[in-house]
Amino acid sequence: MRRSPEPKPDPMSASDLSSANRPSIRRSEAPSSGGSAAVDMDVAIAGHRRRMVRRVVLLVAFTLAMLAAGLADVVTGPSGLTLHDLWRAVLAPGEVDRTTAVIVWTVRLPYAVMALLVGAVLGLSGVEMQTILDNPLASPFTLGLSSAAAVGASLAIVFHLAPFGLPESWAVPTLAFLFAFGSVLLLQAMARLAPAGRETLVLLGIALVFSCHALVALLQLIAPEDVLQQLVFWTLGSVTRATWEKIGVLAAIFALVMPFSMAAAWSMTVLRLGEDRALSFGVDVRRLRYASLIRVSLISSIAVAFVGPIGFIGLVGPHIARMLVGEDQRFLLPTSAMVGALLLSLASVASKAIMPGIIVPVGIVTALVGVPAFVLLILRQRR
Amino acid sequence: MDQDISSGLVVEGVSLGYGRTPIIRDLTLPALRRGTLTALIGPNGAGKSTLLRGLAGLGNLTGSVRLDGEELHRLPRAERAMLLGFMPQSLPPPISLSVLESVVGSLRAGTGASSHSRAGDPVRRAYATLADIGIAELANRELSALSGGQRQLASLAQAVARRPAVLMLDEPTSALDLRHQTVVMREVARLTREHGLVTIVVMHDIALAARHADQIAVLRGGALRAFGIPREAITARLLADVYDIDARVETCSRGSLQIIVDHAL
Repeated sequence: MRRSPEPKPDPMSASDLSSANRPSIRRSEAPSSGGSAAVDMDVAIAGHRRRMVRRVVLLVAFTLAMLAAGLADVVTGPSGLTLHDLWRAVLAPGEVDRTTAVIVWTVRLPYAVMALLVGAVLGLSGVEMQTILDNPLASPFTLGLSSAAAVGASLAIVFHLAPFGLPESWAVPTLAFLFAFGSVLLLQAMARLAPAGRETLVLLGIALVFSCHALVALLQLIAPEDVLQQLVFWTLGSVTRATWEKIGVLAAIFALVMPFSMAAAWSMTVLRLGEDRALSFGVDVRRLRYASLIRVSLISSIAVAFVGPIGFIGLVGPHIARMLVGEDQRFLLPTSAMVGALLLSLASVASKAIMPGIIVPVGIVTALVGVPAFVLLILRQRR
Repeated sequence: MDQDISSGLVVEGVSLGYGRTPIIRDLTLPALRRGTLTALIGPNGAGKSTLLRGLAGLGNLTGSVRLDGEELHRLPRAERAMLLGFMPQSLPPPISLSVLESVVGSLRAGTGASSHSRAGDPVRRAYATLADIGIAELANRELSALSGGQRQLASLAQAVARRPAVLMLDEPTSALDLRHQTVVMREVARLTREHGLVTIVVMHDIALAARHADQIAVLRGGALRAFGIPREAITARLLADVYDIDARVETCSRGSLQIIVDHAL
């Protein structure tokens, strides 16, 4: 069963069948001499390696950009701290005055870290949803996850619900999470009843968005005035709800989920070649879809529960990442997470710069930047 | 390789279909020996693709499909995938993935760790497959930059790279020009002979099928209507019967079979 790439005497084979618009090495050199096939292979594999190296370089560059954006996020803010103050507050909190330490440790750092983390979660969730549902418009937002979270949060806020006797600061995110994650389980169960799973899930998701918006509007209508403001603010999405405990929870789950996503990278790559191909390569497509959906719904539900709905990062991030590194999911998954982190971190910087002295909820910023990006995306699709 | 008469693919009492209405009911094929290429022909809606997908393990198949005596559909998924190569009718989408990467994906996805230890560096193996099919030059080009025909060749590479024992191709030449049609069929026939594969190819071009296939299976309405070596299976009477056409089956000056369709019945 040995098959070698050496040129065969058959004149119709290998060397003969080149693409029309790229001169082959074999053609420019002596045709079908024994060594040139080996040279061809080395050249091709070197080309393949260069593609890999380019992507690794991009990943490193994104890591640095992410750190830079995070740093900029920590530095910007209304209290006018210098870089030097920050540096000292981080390294030696005991040596700076209390106000500085409090600002850095309870405001600046948690906000900046939360922005990066939530961005990464949304970027990863978006790209996996788009791949497994074979739909470029899939994201935690468009599948109705954020809207369902808003219903849960609104219920908690309006009726002062405290499930499991939780303190109020945890009651709202807990209910938001339960609704978001529950909505995905419901969608999945409904889609299983229908014969065509993928399209059904996206359509049901959109239907869910509308129902949830109506429910939230109804709750706003009956909410007392003092609660209404709190309710509206929650639906805007903001990293100012960040605390170190929430960061810890989200980071732990993200660290738990990411390795499973990376382990499924090859299966997801070939799924992009078509479901039948993936199946014939031995991929259990149903299981892949189910596991991935549950995974990313879990992390994005937690993220949304903590910071509120933040649109477009999960939708646009994957598309930017795909343009940069292509469809090899070993690179696309981490890149998409990094693009998401970078985008949300930059949005967080912008949210402090738009109106001096006021932190505009970052959900507003991402939506404002996201809408033109979304339009561009649709226009590109029609190409 | 085991070439005795009992080796090969046996399809017995197979039923297949979407939902409640079976498209293929209780179909049995004569044994398909290793090292032979079988062309599966028939009119639109005859059940050719359904049968092929079913044999490849992609449909709800009932009945018996045995390779060298082993019931294929009882094997674990990964093991079965190593034995069966399937090229779907649809082209791979024009995505930003290189041809080489797509073939490496076919080697690394789903099949577990066993495939790695078995045959060394997947990148080298993938490249060797491309060279075999004659598209080595496309290795680092992205699918999005290729023509439909080139993507069809990449699809063939994805199907054969794992060196399956059974190769099933659904209209592998539908997007190809005349030259590539011939080149691909010759290459498939060569792989079939040299590696003792059982190859089944769904085709519409009967003359092309007759030239490259060892035997022809004719399907209509989910049932087998004829089976045999091309020269005996393909007759004007069969074409009238199966395709509802008035056609002549002629031998050209170089001895190959040609079909001239005079009109539809």
